[in-house]
Amino acid sequence: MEQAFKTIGIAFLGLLQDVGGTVILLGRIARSLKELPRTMKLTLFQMEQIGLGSIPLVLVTSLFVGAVAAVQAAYQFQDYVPMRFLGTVVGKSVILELGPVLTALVVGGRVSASIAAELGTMRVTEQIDAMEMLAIDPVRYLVLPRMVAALIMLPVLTIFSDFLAITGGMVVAKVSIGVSTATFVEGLRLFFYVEDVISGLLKTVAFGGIIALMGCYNGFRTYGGAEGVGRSTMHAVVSSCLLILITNYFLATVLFRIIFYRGT
Amino acid sequence: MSADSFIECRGVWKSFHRNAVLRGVDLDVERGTTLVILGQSGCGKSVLLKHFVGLLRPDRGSVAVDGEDIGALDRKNLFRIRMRFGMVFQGAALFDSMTVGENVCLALREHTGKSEEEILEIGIRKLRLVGLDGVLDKKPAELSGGMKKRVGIARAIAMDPACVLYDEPTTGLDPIMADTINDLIKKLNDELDITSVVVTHDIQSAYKVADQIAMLHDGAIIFKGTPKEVRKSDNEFIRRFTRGYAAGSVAAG
Ligand SMILES: Nc1ncnc2c1ncn2[C@@H]1O[C@H](COP(=O)(O)OP(=O)(O)O)[C@@H](O)[C@H]1O
Ligand SMILES: [Mg+2]
Repeated sequence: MEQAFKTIGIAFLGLLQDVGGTVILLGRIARSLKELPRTMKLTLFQMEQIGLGSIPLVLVTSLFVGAVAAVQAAYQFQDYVPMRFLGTVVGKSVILELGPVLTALVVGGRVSASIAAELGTMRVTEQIDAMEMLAIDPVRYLVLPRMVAALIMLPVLTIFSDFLAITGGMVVAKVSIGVSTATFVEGLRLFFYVEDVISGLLKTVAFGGIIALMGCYNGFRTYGGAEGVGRSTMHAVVSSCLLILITNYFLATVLFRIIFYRGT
Repeated sequence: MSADSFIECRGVWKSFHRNAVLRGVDLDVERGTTLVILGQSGCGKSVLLKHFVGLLRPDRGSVAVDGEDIGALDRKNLFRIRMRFGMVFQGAALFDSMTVGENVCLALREHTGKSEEEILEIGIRKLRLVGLDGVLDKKPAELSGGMKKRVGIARAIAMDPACVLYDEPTTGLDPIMADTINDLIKKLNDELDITSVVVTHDIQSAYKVADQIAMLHDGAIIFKGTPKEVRKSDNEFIRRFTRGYAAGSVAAG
């Protein structure tokens, strides 16, 4: 019994420490923001790594997600809902949730793991100490470029993903469900609101921040050699995925039940 | 004595969780001299070295550099102090995403307004000083252990520091390369007239480069003196350490 309390206590303290550490890191990133101009080259490089590098992954994910969305929607429609609404449903679900969340999850896995592994290796091989010794702030030199790149690239990747997913749905609709492209597009335009697109993209900015922050925080606090790098990488992926899903719920609540609420 | 000390440690304590690594270290590094800190592996030599430049902060006690207590400094002022130091890390700690040239020139590019030609010229000059030529565009992964150490030294001295800290510069190198590194440390000290601290468990290396030798044992400095005094010492631990026998410690432990 005492052991159980102890375990829970230690886990809780660990959580508090992580929250505190993350907030401190965020503060340091904010303060280094004014040095962004002279860190532009590194930022562009990270944009290439995070953005261009994720395109194949996002491409495959989105096409198939859009395709399966069309299949499942058609299955649920059966004879009750006319197929001209197929485009509406696929478009809505992709733009509101599937595009932003699935892009963030797959890109988050890829990017937060690679950031945590790289920075973690730098930590355990004393490269971060070496940077400190050259009087270069590792937060400015390593974290800031990754953070800014992720904040910018996630919405861009999501736009790309939205297009591809809808295209995937459209192709499946035509080929295997028998809904013509013209009908599909007509459905798509029905109830199409710009707010939906904007709120979908707003969410991904937050997701980008989560991905970079979890990768960097876990990378920086790595200790204990190769084993420690493995542990940090795992923590980075798990925490960024969980935080994306949790944040998604709260942002959806704020965006659709308060800001863009259309009901009475 | 404290008048010409470059680094002064007073009662430095440091623990990691329940492991008290440093337990009241008092140590002075005199300006313009080479101090070797000897100790068994895992006794806290690297931890002590990191306290000199604020990479680690003491739980208790103080560290002063050139008369200035660094415990209370913010990041900006700590960076100002660190600009006066160069540090050579145990595993060289070269940035492996950069070339050798970028490693050596990084601080120059970040902190000086010098032109690209000037910076490159300094980089090449520092690499020549450590006996390397034509490695500017190589990646650290392509270098041997000894070459990495030397690039690490070139990077450490790029900004002409007043003090260079070496963490086990000869560990893991073959005897000939180790001696080359020792010669290099001596040469830099003589030519550049800097203060140096060398952390090592290699007693030959210590005799070769040291003006002063300090022995770290059980979390404290148990002895400090010239190499000659070390040779003459009748302290049991020092005799065991310098002659390299275990004296029943395995049976006892
Ligand atoms: N960041 C750290 N976290 C926890 N323990 C550490 C840390 N750094 C060093 N230690 C511990 O401190 C002790 C001394 O380490 P170190 O100074 O690296 O020894 P050495 O004399 O071989 O350089 C070791 O027991 C090590 O496990
Ligand atoms: Mg060490």
